[in-house]
Amino acid sequence: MKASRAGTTPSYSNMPRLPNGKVPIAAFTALLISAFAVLAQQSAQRTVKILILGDSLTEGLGVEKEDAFPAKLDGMLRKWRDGVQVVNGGSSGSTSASGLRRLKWYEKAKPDLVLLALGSNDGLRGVKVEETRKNVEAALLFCQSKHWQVVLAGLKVPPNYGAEYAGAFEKIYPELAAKYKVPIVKFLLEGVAGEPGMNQADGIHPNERGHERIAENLFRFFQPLLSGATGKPAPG
Amino acid sequence: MPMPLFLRLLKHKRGAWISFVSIYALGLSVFLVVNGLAKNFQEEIRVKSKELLEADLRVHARRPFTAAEEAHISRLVPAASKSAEVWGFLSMLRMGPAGQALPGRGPDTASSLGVTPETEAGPGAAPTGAIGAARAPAVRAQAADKAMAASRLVQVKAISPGYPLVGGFTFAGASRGGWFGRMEDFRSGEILVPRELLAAMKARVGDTVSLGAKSFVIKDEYKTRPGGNFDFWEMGSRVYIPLADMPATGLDRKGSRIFRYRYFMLPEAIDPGTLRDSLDAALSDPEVDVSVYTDSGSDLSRSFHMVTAFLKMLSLSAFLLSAVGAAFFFRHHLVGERKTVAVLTTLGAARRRIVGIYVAQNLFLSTLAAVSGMALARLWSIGLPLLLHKLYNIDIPSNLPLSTFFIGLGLAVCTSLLFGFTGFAGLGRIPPATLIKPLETAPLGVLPRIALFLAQGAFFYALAMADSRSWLLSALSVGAMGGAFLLLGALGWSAFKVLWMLRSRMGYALRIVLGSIRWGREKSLLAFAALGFVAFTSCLVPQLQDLILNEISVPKGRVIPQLFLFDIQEEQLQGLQALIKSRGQTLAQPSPMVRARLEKVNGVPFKREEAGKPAGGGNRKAVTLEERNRQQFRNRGFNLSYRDSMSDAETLIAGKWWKGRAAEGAVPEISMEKDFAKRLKIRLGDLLAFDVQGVEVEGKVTSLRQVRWASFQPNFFVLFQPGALEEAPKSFLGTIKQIPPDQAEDIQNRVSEAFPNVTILNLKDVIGKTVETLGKLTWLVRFLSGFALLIGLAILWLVVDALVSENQRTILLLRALGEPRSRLARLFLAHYAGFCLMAGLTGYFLSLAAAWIINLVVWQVPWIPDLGIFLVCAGASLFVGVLCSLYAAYRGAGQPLRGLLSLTRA
Repeated sequence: MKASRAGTTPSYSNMPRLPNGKVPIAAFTALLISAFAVLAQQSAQRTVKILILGDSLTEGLGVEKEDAFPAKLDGMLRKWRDGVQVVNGGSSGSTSASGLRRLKWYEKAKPDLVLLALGSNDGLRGVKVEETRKNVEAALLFCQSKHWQVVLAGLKVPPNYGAEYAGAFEKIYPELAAKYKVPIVKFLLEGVAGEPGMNQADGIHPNERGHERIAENLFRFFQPLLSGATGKPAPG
Repeated sequence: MPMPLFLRLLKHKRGAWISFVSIYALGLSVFLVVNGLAKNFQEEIRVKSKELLEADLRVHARRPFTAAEEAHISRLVPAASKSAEVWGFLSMLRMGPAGQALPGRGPDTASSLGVTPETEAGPGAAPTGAIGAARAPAVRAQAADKAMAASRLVQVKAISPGYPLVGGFTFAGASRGGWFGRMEDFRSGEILVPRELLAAMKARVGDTVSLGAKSFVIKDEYKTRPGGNFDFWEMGSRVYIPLADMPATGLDRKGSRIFRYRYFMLPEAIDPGTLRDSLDAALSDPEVDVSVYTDSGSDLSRSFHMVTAFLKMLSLSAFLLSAVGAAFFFRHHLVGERKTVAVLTTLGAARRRIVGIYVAQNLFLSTLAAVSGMALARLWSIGLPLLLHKLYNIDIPSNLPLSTFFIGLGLAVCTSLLFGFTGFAGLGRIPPATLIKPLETAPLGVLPRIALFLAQGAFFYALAMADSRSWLLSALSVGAMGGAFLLLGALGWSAFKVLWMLRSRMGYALRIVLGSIRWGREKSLLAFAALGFVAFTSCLVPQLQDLILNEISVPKGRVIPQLFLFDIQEEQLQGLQALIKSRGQTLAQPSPMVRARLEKVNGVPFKREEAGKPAGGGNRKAVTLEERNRQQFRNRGFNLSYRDSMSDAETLIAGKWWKGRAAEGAVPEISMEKDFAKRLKIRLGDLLAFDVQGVEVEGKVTSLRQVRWASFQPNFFVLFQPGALEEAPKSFLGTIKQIPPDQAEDIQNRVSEAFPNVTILNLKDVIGKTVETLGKLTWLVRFLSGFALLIGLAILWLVVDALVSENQRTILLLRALGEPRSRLARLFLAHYAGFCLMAGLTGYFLSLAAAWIINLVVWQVPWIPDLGIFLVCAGASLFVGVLCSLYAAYRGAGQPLRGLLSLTRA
C-alpha cells in the first residue's frame, strides 16, 4: 500500500532518489512538513489526537500513570498549544503481534496520528526479526488505511544480544519508514537506555527521569510537525 | 532377689499397665518420628533452598559493581567464605564460528533465519565460505534445514572457576574423550548446553557455535544444572561459558544488560540473614540485590512453614493425647489403689514411702513406655520410607537424630510424672477409713489441682516453644488443648448435673446408668474429658490437614503443567490449539488476558499512597516480593481476565459467583483475589472503573476468591464476568501438562516456527523440584494425620474398655437380679455409646473453634467447616462406643456370677 492512498499526503512516486535508493533528506523533510501541514489544518478545527501504541515502556510500568512519557508529552504539548491530546496505548508485555488488533480497538478513539512504538518485547524475547518487521508493517498499513498519520519509533535491543541480531532488529524501523515514507523517531529511548539514573532497577524500564527525557525528545520531534496548526501559544 | 513392692503391686494390674505402656509408647513414637522427619525435611528444604539460590548468600546487580561496593563486599563477607562469580544475560547463540556465514546459506535461507540480506552483508559478516558456494542441492537442503534453526535466544551464564558452590551438573557424555564432567576441566572456548537446545539447533556435541564475536565448541550436553530460580526475563535455554571468555565475545558494551552475580558459601558460624542485613545497609543502591537461601523459593518456604507448623502441632497433639490417655490409666490405677494405700497406712507405712512406691511405678512404666516408643519410632523410621518407596516411589529421609531419643526419654518420664502428680499428692491424704467407706471427695483440694493443671500447661508451653520457636503457635496449641480439656470437664459436669436432675423422668435403665456414673464420678469425669479430648484432637487434625493440603497439593484431576505459553494472539489461538493437538497434546486452560488500569473506585479517582511512595521515603530498595509488586503496581496496571466459572484452584470466600454473561448495558460483576482486595482496600460492592486501553469499563465487586497459587495454573487477581471484555485487545496464555522431554522439545520447536511471537517457557526444572518436595510434604501430612487419628481411636477404645471393666460389678449384679442379656446390652449401649457420642460431639465442636482460631491467627486463611469430617468423627466416636458397649455386654453376660464375690472382695 502506498502512502498516497491515505489521501491526505502527497504522492512520493516521483520523488527523486539517490543512487543507494534513499530519498534525499531535504526533499523528505519538505514532504513531511507539507504532510503535517495538512494535519495541522485539520487540527485547527478540532483536537489533534495522538495515539502512542506501545508496550510497558509506553504504559509506564513501575511509574505513576501521570509520570509515563505519554502523559508528560501530553502536558508539554498542551502547555505549548491548545487542541492536542495524547492517548497512552501502552500495554505491558505486549509484542508487535498484538499491534494490529489493538489498533482496531483504538479505532473508536479516532486518532489523527499514531506513534508506533512496537517491538521492544520482540527483541528481548529473541523473536525473529522478520516476524517483528511483518507485524509492525501490518500495523503501519492499517493506520494508513484509516487515514491516520503514522510516526514510527525506532527501538533497539541491548548489545548483549549480539551485533548480528541487534543490527538486524534496529534496521526494521528506518527501513519501514523509508519504504512507506513515514517520519521516524530515530530511537525512542535516546539518552535513556543504558544511562545510569534514568532507569528502574530492572535496567529496562525508564524511571520518572527517563520518562521525562523521552517526553522531551518527543516534544521536540512533534513541535515542528504540529507548529502549523492554530492554537493558543502557551504563556511565556 | 525379692521383687520390689512397687512391682509386686503392679503384678495384678497387668491390663492397666499394658494399656498405659502401649498408649504412651504409641504417642511417643509418633512424636519422635514426626519430629525426626520434620527435622530431616527442614534440613532437606534448607539444602534445596541453597541449591535454588546456588549459595548461602548472593549479591547481584545488573551492572558492574562499583569500587565502593566491591570494598563493602570484601569488608563484610568473611574471608573464609567460598565464592564464585557469574555473569548472566540474554543473547543469540548462532551455529558456526563467529564472523563466518553459515555453510550453504544463500538468499533462499536468509529470510527464514529472520535476517535480511542487507544485514548479512554488513561489515561484520565474512564472505560466504568456500563450502557454501559449491554445495550440491541435497547438501544445500540440509544446510537450509540447519540454517532455519541456526540462531536461538539463550540465557548465557559466564561462570568463574569454583562454580557451582552448591549442587552440580550431570552430563550426558561425562565419560567421553577424557571429560569426566569435572568443572575444573571446563576450559576457554567451550560451552555447555542443554539437550533441548541441541535439538532445537540441530547441533551435536563437538559442533562450533558463536556468541557475539567468540566461537565456542560444544563441550557436552548437560542433563541437570545447578540452581532452579527462575526469572521471568530469563526465557532462553541456559548455556554456560567460562567467565574468562567474556571480553572476547564483545557483548559487554555500553547499554548491555548483563547481571553480575557473586555467590558465597559462608562459614558455619555466620548467620546469612544478619550478613544480608549488613550488606543491604551498605549496598543501598536499589540496583544491587542481596539474597540469602532462606529467601529463595518463597512458595516452597510458605508451604513448608505451614507443613512444619502443622506437623509439630500434630506430633505434640499425638504426644499429649497419649500422655492424657496414659495419665487416665495411671490415675484410674491410683483411684483403684486407694484401698491398698489405706491398708498400707493402717500397717504403719510412712506416707512418703507410700507415695514413693507409686512414683516408682510411674517411673518404671514411663521408662518402659519410652523405651518401647523409641524402639517403635526406630521401626517406623526404617519401615515407612521402605514402604513408601515400594508403593509410591517417594523417598523420604529415614534417619532419626540421636538427640530425638534423649528428648523422647526425658519427655516421657517428665510428662508422666507431671501428669501423675495430682494423683501422687492425693495419695498421702487417703485416710485409713477408706477401707470401710469410699472417699466422697477427691483427696486433693481444688486450688492445688488448679495449680498443678497450670504447671502442666506451663510445661507443655515450654515444650511447644522449644519445638516451634513461636510463642503464638505455642500459646495457641497449649491454650487450645488446655482450654479444650477444661471446657470438656466443665461441660461433662454440667451435662451430668442436668441429667441427674431429670432422672425421675427417665426409665429404669438410664437411672442405673446415671447412678453408675455418679458412683464413680471422678473417674467418669476424667473419662469424659479424655474421650472428648481424643475426639477434639482427632477432629482438629483433619480440619487443619485439609487446609494444608489445599495449600500445597495439586487439585484433584489436575496435572502440573510443564510448558507455559503466553502472548498468544486471539487469531492464533485456534491454529495453535490445532498444532498442539496434532502432536497429541492439549493446550490447557487458554485464558484471555486484558491489560487495564484501575482508574476509579466508587467514582473517586484511585490513589494509593502506599503503592506510589516507597515506605520510608527516598529511593529505598524494594527488598520483599511484596514491595516489588507494589512498585510494579505504581501505574495501577492490571492483567484482567474473564471466566464463566472458577477454576479448581480457586475457592469463593465471600459474595457470590455470577450466573452467565453480563446483560447488555448492565454493570458486569468482578471477582477479586482476597489478599489483593485487602491490599487495595477494596470491598464487596465497590464499583471499579478500569481504563482498558483507552476505553472505560466499569464493574462491581461481587465476590472474593482465595487462589491456590501453588497450583501452577493461570490465575488472576481480577476476574470479570463474561460479556464485558471480549472485545478488548487481549492475548491468551495456556499450559501444557508434564510431557516427555522429546515431545516438549518437538512442541517448542513447532510452535516457535509457526507462531514466532508465542513465548514458551519450559519450567520442568523449577516446577519439578518444587512439586517433588510438595508431593513429599503432602504425603507426610496425609499419612501422619491418619496415623494420629488411628491413635486417637485406639485410645478411645482403651479408655472405654477400662470404663467397661470398672463396671463389671454392675453387670454381674444386674444379672444376679435377673436382668435379661438383651436389656443389659441396651443398658450398656445407652451408657457408653451415649457417653462416647456426647464426648465426641463436644470435642468436635471445640475443635471447630480451635481450627477457626488457628487458621485465622496463624495461617491467616479463611476456613470453612467440613461436614464430612464431622460425620466421620462423630461416626467414629459412636462406632467405638457402640462396639465397646456391645463387647462389654457380651463379656459381662458371659462371666459366671461367682465373679461377683471375687470382685466384691477386691
